[in-house]
Amino acid sequence: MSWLRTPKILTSSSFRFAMLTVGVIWLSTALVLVAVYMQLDRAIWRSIDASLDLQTTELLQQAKQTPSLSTEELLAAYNAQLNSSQAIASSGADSMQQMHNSPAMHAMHQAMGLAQPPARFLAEHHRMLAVNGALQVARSVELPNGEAVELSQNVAYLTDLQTSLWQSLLFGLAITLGIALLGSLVLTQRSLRRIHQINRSCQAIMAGDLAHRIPYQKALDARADAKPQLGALDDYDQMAWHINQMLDAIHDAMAKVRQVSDNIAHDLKSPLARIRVKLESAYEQQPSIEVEDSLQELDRVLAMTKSLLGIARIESKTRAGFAPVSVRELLQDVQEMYGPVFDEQGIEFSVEPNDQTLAGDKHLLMQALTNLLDNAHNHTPTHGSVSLLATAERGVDGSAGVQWQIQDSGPGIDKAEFTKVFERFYRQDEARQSGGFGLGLSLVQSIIQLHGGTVELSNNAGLRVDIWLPAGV
Amino acid sequence: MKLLVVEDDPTLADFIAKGLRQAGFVVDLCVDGKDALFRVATESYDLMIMDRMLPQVDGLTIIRTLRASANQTPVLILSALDDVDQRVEGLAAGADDYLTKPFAFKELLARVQALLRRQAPVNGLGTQLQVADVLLDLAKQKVWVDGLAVAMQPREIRLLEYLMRHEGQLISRTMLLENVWEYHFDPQTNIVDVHISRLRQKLDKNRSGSLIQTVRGAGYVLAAHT
Repeated sequence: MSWLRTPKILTSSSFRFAMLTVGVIWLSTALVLVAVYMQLDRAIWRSIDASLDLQTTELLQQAKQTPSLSTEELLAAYNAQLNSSQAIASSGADSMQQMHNSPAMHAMHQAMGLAQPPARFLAEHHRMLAVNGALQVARSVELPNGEAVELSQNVAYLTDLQTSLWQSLLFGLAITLGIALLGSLVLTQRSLRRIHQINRSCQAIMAGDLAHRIPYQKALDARADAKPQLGALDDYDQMAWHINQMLDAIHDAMAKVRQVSDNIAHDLKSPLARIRVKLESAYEQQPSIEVEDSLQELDRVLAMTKSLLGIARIESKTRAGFAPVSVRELLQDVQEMYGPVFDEQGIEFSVEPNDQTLAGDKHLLMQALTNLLDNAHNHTPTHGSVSLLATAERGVDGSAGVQWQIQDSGPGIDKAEFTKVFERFYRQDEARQSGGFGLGLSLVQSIIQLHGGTVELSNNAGLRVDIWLPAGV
Repeated sequence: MKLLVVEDDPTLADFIAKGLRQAGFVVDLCVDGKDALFRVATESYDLMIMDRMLPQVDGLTIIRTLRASANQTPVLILSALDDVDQRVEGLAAGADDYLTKPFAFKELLARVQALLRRQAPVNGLGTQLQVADVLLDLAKQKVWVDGLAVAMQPREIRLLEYLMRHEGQLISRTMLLENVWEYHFDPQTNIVDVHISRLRQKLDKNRSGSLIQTVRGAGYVLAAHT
């Protein structure tokens, strides 16, 4: 069974809830049984007391009616009259009385349980006796002739009753516990199976299968627009239905965003493309500085449009097109590509790749890295240094990941600007002249977020950028 | 050389046609997908320049139809859809190259020429390339300049190979990034320029002038000039 394979069942909240229910049921069963036991105990001793009362009255009556009889004769007559097993009256019985309060008697009392009369009962001139090993309860009665006799009742059967009571009590509790445990396991397994199903579906959707929906236990109306009778579904199907509805809505919204950005791309770029070709042919016919400047300016606008649309597209993207990316290969390409660039500037550039693999889009990751390296390149003085270091690093939730650390020896940036630099079109005053659009870091952030990672800035003898990405394919 | 341009924007279409005719090509123009399908079925072209979003039949459908009927005419997609995914989609449909709008005409021309050249057999035995006194052995991954071996990094050899295979043609920076480094992204610094200048240092030691010419605002040409 599946739950046997998952030790997680112990930590699952439904199992814990079921165990709590088991505990409550079990405890209440135990309480009921204890109450029954106590009630039974009281009833038994009350009836013993009542029967001794009756016997006392009868004995005294008999003594009154026939005062001529001696005590022995009276007792013999009385005993003959009674069922001898119920009550025995004896005179004196000194030897037995001596046993009262002896350690042997105490030991017997302790072992007796149900056969142990309540303290109130013993206080009323009752005594416990053991006659030939059989337990009896006795009461002394003073006869009219002044002699004292003892009326005693055999309670040895109580010990047997006690044993069988305990046995059925324990048996009952064990059965209850068993049933409750089995029931909770079955229930937990059922709910866990549904939860796992929902989890798996969510993972499949996150992995890029956007058309995936959570299956229902109960067959639903196949028509997508038909709202099912939610009341007729169980909780999990209701939850699945709502999640599926939510996914549909998100899917629609994402499709709209993509459609809009495609439309913008087309409707904005077409006129720009026409302007560009007109400028280009004008320049071909009669080269002039004005037209050349205009072309350059236009190319800047085009690049900015492209970056903006690129960010919008990345933000509406899914991980559907992701493939395994080797960190070593990617970083070696970066080193090979940027080594000479830094070299020309007299900047020392070092790259330390590692052997992790992550699921991603290598073009986008390259774009993110080059944006950061371009920044580092622009802000590091000659003879400075830039390093790119990859290390295996666990994420905040303990999942495997890779950390890229890009460290330059430039002036760094003000701590107050750390969040601002990720905003679109944000540029520091000094960088405003350097010709960027203020989109570079926004793009980096959207790329890293698409990959499920994080970007952090810090100042450490220059600017340090820490990128964390989840590893594994 | 006869080319077909499928483009629904008249200004762009005229501009492209005019430019290509000036470059010595025969150009047919189509403004919608249906017309384009009819043209390719009835005439034979050396290359097609295809927009993606077209009236009636879209560009990718045309390309898929062509490829399904075993028509291997090279196709260059010219589209405003510039995402990497869309590029991949275009190439998967059977296109040979993908240029995004807006574009510089020189870039388009360079790509058209590169595609047409790819059709032509490479000079020599196929394992050796020679331009002027530069000899590149592809099997051995070695380069000789004027008979002397020159040490080169693997990527420099690929860069040199690409330029030599397109000898005399204008090669844009983007083409180099896509074909030599195989990445689609926009570097802000001109990393290609830096790599070309390194390559030049190795090739031009005993030369006045350079084997690789820079064409301002467009790219590079590797040419033996006497």
